[in-house]
Amino acid sequence: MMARLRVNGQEHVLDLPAGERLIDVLRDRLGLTGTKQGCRAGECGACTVLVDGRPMQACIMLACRVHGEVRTVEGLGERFMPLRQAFADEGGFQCGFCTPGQLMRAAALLAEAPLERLGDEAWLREQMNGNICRCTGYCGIIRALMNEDVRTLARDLRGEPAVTEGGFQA
Amino acid sequence: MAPIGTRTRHVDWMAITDGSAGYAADLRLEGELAAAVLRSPHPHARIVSIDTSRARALPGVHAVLTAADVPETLYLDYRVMDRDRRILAADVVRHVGEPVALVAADDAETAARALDLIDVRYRRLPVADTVAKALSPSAPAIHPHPEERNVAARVRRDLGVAPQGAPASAHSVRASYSSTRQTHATMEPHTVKAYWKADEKCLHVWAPSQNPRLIHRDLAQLFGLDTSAVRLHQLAIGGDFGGRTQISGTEALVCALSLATGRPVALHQSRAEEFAFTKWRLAWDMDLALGCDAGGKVTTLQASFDVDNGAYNQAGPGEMVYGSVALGSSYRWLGYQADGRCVYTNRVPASSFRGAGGYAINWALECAVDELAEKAGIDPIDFRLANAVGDEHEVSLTGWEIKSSGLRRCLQAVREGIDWDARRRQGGKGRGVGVACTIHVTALSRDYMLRSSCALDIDGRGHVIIRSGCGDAGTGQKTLICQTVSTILGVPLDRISIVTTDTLVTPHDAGAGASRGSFVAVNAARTLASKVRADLSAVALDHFGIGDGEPDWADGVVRSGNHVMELGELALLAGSAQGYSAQTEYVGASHDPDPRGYEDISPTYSFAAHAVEVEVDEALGTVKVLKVVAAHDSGTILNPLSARGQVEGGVVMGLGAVLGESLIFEEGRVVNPSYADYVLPRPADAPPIETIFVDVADSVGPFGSKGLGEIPLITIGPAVTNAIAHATGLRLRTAPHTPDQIVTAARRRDGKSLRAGSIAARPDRWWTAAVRTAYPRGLHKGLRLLSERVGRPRPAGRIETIRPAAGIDEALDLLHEGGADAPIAGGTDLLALETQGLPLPGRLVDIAGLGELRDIETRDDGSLRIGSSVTLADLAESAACDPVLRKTAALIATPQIRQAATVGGNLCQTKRCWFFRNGFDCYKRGGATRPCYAVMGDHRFYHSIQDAHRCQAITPSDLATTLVALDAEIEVRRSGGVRRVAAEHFYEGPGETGLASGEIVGAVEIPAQARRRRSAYRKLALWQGAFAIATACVSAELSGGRISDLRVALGGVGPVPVRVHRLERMLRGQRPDPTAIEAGIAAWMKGTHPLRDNHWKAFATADLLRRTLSDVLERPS
Repeated sequence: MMARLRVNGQEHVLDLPAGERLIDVLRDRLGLTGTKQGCRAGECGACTVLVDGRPMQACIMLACRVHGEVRTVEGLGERFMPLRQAFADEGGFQCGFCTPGQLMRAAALLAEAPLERLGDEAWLREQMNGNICRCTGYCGIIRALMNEDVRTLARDLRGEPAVTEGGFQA
Repeated sequence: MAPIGTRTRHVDWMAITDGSAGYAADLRLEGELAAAVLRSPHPHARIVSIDTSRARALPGVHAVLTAADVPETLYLDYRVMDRDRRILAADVVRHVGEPVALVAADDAETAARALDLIDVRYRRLPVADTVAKALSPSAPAIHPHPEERNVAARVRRDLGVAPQGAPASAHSVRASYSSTRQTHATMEPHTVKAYWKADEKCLHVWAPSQNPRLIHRDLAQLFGLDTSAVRLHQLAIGGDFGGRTQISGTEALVCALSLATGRPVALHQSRAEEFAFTKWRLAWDMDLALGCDAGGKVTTLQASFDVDNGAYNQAGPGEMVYGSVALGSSYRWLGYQADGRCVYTNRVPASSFRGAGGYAINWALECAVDELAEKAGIDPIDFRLANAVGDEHEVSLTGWEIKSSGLRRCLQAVREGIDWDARRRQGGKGRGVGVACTIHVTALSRDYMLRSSCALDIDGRGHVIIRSGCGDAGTGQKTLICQTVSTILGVPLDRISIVTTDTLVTPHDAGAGASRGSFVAVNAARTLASKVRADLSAVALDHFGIGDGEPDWADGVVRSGNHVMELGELALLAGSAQGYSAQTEYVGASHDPDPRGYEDISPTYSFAAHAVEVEVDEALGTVKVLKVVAAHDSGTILNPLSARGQVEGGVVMGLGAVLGESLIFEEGRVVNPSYADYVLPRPADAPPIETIFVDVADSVGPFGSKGLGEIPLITIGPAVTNAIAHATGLRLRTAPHTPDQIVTAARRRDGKSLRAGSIAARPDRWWTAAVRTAYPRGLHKGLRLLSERVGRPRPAGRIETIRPAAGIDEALDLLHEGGADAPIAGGTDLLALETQGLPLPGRLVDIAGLGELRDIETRDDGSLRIGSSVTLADLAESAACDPVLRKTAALIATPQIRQAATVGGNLCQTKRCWFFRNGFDCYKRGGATRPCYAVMGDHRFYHSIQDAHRCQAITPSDLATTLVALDAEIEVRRSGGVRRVAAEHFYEGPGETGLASGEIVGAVEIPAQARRRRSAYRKLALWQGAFAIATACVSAELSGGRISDLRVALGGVGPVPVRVHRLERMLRGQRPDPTAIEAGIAAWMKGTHPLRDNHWKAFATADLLRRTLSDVLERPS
């Protein structure tokens, strides 16, 4: 089947078997190995990418059915550097394998969640419940999301019009 | 600068957060072949014959190997006498999953097909899949060599006074403890690549491990290669926790294939294989007897234990031996005797797990000590303060010499941190606090653990490249090594980089484990950097023309008075035009193990105390951890950022062990090999954790530091068990403390009935009861054997085609004409089925985007219509939808799943029975001649308590429960027609809808009258978002203070959603009266027919129902 996929702002036209999953297209055909496979059953969140800004699991998506704009960790851009730095400063990762999925899920939250909710730790934990981490115990991840610079980023994401080049399209 | 002691970012933080960190699966080798492993389906069998001819003949297959094609060499284990494992099974298979044959092919699909073409004939042998069976007199000998049948190793300890010689105990505790079967479940599955390059005569290997040198050494010896002919490459490592600390099996399998083909070969283990076939923590069954005198001083400790080793030794005996010493080391016993057996069973081998054997023994001991303190009438913290080993210069009964200790400060810190004294006064009402403390090693003083080299190169620009043989799986050695060199050489961190693991360019490293990672790595780095500084200082001074003195090293510059030299310059001067290199070896003081177990086993010891507050719901069995205070003495904290992470991560992993995690085995096979069913902590379960480091610099550790990696995990478990005891009075002796255990224990404590349901007056259930009775008496076995003779299970399904449709009519026509077999909307269940190797419709029509199916519409008459392709996320957020529906949707799965999953998909998803989903060839998979594995297997959570016949599974849809209570109708569409069916009648069986071929769900409709009622919904699950254990939805209309109309629906309790008509009839027209409600619930419960171990679920569901009724009937109007 012919599929037209937009990934990180670039368009790809691919002839794919109907049963090929988005994660395999990203990793094997497009060389974007930042998206990790933890379970291939939609149960761990490691493969979370954004499709039109919504957090979805690439391992259980069929690539030829994806019609929206796909963003992977490689496409987060400079805009999200405060988030990456917060993860580094607050202990949001140790082995790093779940980190791309955590970052993508977090990016969606920062762009979409009601601002006042971003200060609600219990709510944040529920919202991150689709991303398993075996190393950190989640404390560092939540601290990163509640970090001052990250809150500023969240405010900025709402204040500005959608950025089309090199940055994240909310 | 990033001196030791400061918060420093992980040196790889940029690569980790931008997706460029390279794990094994990210690496692409040119011409890579795919490996597949044929594994034994039997727990114990003789291999009669293997015929690989058909597999070899398949185009695209490059090699098919059996035991005859690989060396007979045994894998190394820590002790010579423990070596019992071969690369491939030769005559006998001893556990489900044991590798029997290997295939290398052009791609994964071909490799999988080749596996199907390998014919292996087995003759089953008697199975000993539990410790009890393995030790019984009639047990088969799993290995021929042990003197005591099935005892892989035996350990006896006898230190201090004999029990008879000890002063009598005024108080004593005798108790038996069984610990959890936890598995590492690293986020990165085992992924290994190997490439035998014949022209170089070098075997290149990419195998993630925190102990790369052990892998390296073992591969060389297995294949008869010189270690210089094997090269391990650097990789990012996605977690270890002991799971990859020693060679597993995967590494050698891939190397064998590459050696045979001369091509690069890759093995990617699936998540299900990861759970089912990789190592797990040894599970201990332990009897303890301990006492104290009238003054509260401990007297003696006796222990006997059996440890489940699995079928082969993979560090099992070593962990047991260590554990048997650690058990006697933490308190001031006058005498300690222990007798333990490490027992072979027909299960996947158990192995190293974070804690080195300390977790299970510390859990049992700290629980028993807590009980002893209670009997003696002494506060648990005071008891530990008085008795725990932890004074400087103290020597334990086992010979452990304490150098520094902050134990007492840790205990005080948690006492304050959790507000212990105030909270202790309030126990017994469902909230409680508990404490535990630990002593743990920082490495074992063995040569192989304390000998580590480190090397570095400095170039002309003053950039330093460190070369360390370590493997950092997230524990942080890489960063600590850089910090060490930065501190000693005064070089800013951004001018330092580090290469690890690569055996071509890095020297030998002792690896991580037994909490030695930072101790050894930092010592090696410190030794190196100190020598470099001394040597280069001498060169600098000589160059400056100064006699002696200590130059200053800062900012990459060496300075003495007015003489200044850039480090780069100095490197060229001291070395060559290429720069300067140095390598040193750190050798810690080591000694041989003492046969009695009396020795100063570690260079120095760490301490910890954890206090926990929990809230226990005895009726539902759930435990909520409200707060953890974790106080640690690990000496000088080298990097507070990573240290805090070790504590938090270890605590949460320990919470998983004590509250949820367990590998469930059935006939030697893992039943729950998935993240959905193996209950490990997720963010919503994890509590706030306060971490305290007490500042006590150690005299031995580098910069005063001590180990930290394992001790948090070892400490937290018993603190939780003790907190539960404080909250409920229940002393739990088996972990994990799942809801069934708590509900049952609480009822037993209160003298309440443990059996629900009564079928004496229900002849319609007698046949089922008779069949259930026959199952353990031969019926199950007979059906299973019959099923093996009557053909193979249905083959796995694949998604073949997806047809788009412009509109619903076109989609329905496709289904009618046979162009497609089924619709696909979210696809979350379909793709999971494909991964699980289950049959599924392969030709699909895409209905996700059809506008007509995505509407949520409130109609003029007040009814609500929700299209079947509405996602759960949209449903949960829709202001048009009733709150009870929104709540139901919001508690399903995870945010990511809800973005894709749809209303129709949720209703139609296939049953979730873990036997059905995970490869057990049952009645529903293969037909009438097959058994239902849930009758005798683990059915505590996800199986029926009423109305089940041949199949015990339940309908997994949560929406179904709520829709039944709301009188919803399901609109079913077919080509040229529409019909409606009440939600209550939509299902014919568990996850089996009444949809005929060609039909799909178009919408669900909720009548206006239902929407005017008051409704409430509750869900009981093992983790937030998990598939439900049970759901309850109540919808009532009240008028004039009476219940004028009522609907009560229960999900998860029967094959299909249950509408509790009888309860409705009893309450309709009544005032909401507790007595009437209780009578109604009791009537419902009487009609249940639980399986052997899920009576608790009837009681818990009764309470869930009670609360849901209360939500509706007691709501202020």
